[in-house]
Amino acid sequence: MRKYAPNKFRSLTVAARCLALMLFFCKPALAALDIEITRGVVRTIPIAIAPFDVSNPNGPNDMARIIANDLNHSGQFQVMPQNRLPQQPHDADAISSDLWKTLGLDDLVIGRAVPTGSGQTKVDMTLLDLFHSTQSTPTILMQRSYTVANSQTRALAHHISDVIYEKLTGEKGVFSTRLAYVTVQPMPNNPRHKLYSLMVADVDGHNAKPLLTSTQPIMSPDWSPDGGSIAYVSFETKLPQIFTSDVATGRRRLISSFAGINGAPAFSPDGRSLAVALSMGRTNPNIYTIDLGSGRLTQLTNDAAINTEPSWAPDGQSLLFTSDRGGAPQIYRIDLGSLQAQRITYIGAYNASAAYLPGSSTKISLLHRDDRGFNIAIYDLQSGTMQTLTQGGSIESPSPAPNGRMIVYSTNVGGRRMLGMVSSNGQVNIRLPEVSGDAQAPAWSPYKG
Amino acid sequence: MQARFKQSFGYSFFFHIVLAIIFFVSLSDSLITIPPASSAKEVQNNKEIVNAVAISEDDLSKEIRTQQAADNAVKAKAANEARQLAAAKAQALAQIQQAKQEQAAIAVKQQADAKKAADQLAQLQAQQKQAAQQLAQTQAQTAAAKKTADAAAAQKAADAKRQALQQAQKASATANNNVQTQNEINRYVGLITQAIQAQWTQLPGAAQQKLATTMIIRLAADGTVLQVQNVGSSGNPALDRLALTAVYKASPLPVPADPSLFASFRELKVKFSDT
Amino acid sequence: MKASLKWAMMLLIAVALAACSSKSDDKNTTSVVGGDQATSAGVGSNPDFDDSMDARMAKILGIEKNTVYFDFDRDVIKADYVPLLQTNADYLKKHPKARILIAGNADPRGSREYNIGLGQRRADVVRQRLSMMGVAANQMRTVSYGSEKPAVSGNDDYAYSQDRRGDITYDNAG
Repeated sequence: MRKYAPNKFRSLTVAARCLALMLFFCKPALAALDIEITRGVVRTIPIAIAPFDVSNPNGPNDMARIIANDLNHSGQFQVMPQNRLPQQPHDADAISSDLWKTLGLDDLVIGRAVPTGSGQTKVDMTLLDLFHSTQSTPTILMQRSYTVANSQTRALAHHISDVIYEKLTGEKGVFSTRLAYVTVQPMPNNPRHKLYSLMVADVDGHNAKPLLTSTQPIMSPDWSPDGGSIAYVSFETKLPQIFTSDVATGRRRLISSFAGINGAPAFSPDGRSLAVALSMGRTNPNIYTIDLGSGRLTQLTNDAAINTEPSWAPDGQSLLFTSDRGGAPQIYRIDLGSLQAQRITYIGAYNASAAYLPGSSTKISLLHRDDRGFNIAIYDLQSGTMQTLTQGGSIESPSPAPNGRMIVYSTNVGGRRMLGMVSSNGQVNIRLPEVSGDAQAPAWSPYKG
Repeated sequence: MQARFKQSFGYSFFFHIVLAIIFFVSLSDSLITIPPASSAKEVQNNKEIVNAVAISEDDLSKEIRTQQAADNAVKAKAANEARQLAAAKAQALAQIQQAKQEQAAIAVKQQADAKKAADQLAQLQAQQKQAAQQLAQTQAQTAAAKKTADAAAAQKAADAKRQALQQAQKASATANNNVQTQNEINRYVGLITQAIQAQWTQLPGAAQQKLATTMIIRLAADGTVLQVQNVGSSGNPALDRLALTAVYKASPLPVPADPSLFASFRELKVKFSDT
Repeated sequence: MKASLKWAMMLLIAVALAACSSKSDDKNTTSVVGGDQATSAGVGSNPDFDDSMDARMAKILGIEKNTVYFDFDRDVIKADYVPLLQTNADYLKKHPKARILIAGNADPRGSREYNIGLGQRRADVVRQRLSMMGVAANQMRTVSYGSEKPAVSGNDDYAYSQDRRGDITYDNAG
């Protein structure tokens, strides 16, 4: 044994050296260097939309302008102004990525809109990714081709905005949705009297049409979940009543005309009932539900305080509402099974107009008063934090978009009420095109509206 | 002769098994996620321990304890979340485990005396066999170290840490070089992280969904991104795409000019996670 | 006063046109984005009855403006307005067929629906005071317009003070 020992140990040493060598040199080659990046920068995606219109590329109705406006208003994109584009390409093979990359763009949309002569327009659209590879030709992410009536190119532009938005953010866009709101104008022949109109418009404020016009106030429009009808309060008899109007036909239905306050209609998520605020001839309103099929009335709250602005939880099992039972308006939640109400908000002396932010079961948008006045805020039920999104101070009627990314509201600008939108992270705040008179009480439609 | 071969073959076979086990363990170590806030520091601490271990086992255990005491004192002071404690524990485990393995390897390499090498290997074998016991033991050590750390003042902990570092530096010039190398690597890891992060647009809603995507990036010597491969999709193509865009937009990435250092940067595994 | 002098009700026209609504999809073929439409015919002009009625009653009652103003966030009737309410009460007691509408209003700040609640409180305190003065319950109706009918346009404290009010108007002078 002893005789063989040196050899035995020699082979052992060789093996040990191998082991050591492997450990020192092979390990780095096997495992890539690990890097973990935990948070991106909250910012908008830089994108450019080249003109679609071949004959009149700078026309105001160019689809590229509508798409650019949509994406800018989404809060998720920063669209490069058209006058800064280095070229106006219509075809992908004419594009050098490097030229566009230096502008800091991630993506580029090109397209072509050509009238076919029979009252129709053929539209091609290509979405290009400038940073998808090391090559200097951009990568085609999406290509679409449409033929539509000339009158529908604006609607098609919104649709193209939707598909671009969904491709690049993974979420549905809201550019084909609509807004309902109330306009107030002085009567032409008697400025002391006002004309109130319930309007429905594209989400960019264009294509506005009246659904109802009255010489007495109209309030609180709310869309049915299928987007087919709108509930609202009308004072056309001088007293408040709740109606629904079919959006397509304008057909009306009287829902509630009880003594005193009939207010704040809110469709349930299944569309079968309406939550409302009724005072039933007394001073203070309470929350009720009205079954739209049977007309059956169910009282949910019963106390001597203002109880209003019911807003359904996504599951339809509970409601948020505004109540000053604690002395000042705050948000409460009532469970439909137990009818137990519990206070939700404790930050600030005034919280109202609450609604669950779509896509989140823990965040609600609301009207929040702080030392800067009345502003839109997001309250997080989980963390108990209040994030104020606006700074205008005379803001009201927040209504979140169906994807929860933007919130439309009404604000006072130089003595007139206008509509504005703020992104739910507070980063983007825009104003919708002016209307004559005041624009107030906006309600964002669901996706199919 | 045949008997000798048999014997040699037997040893060789045995060492290959050992080798395989060590590789498996060391690979799995590298997969343990290091909290981003302190990752660079952790790596450095890890290396310090390794260097100290290379000198003597006494120093090793001493330094591990002092090091942990220092480390944990800082942590205990900084945060109190259970999650962080658990993470610290896992790291400590990983550190000790890796340190012991590498210590064994270095020891083997440095042994001129074959008998001693055999003893060391036997010891190593025993260590491998008693892995489960060691885990429990190291956990206990970690807990003990934590208790000590809690009691210790921050200044005292810092002193201990400095002492440990000096010890390690005194011990070996090689170890010293390794520390510098590791520091340099850490520096560039930080620079690369910053460069990519600055280009990464956070997807709305991704934070709520806790999505993560992992890319393997191959780099040219000047840091230019040659190839990006998605090896762990988040399931959300838009998030994956924004991560890819960030990598390409950050190209060329900052990399060390020294070829021996760059070797570590030829291939990067980058995990993007919205927290 | 005759029934012919009753309030002229507003005209309300909701003429709507149905429009086609076809779903758009992501196929590479023709895709039409649906657009519902609703249009309205014009609304007839409103004769100026409100003012003449207010003017007549103001003359009869010997008052300038039949309005009670409230302090911020309050629904307490100030002593200044007690004589005005007494004048109305005396008239209503003398004319049992007279009918009034008490409209409560709020300034435009905050939630519109919550302001409806505030306006109702103001309308009801006016009614209660008139009731205490002996006016029959069936002679009075209340309504809240909340912040829907601001008295003056403006966003300052003066405008707000004009908005926080209870307006008494006569449906029937008896």
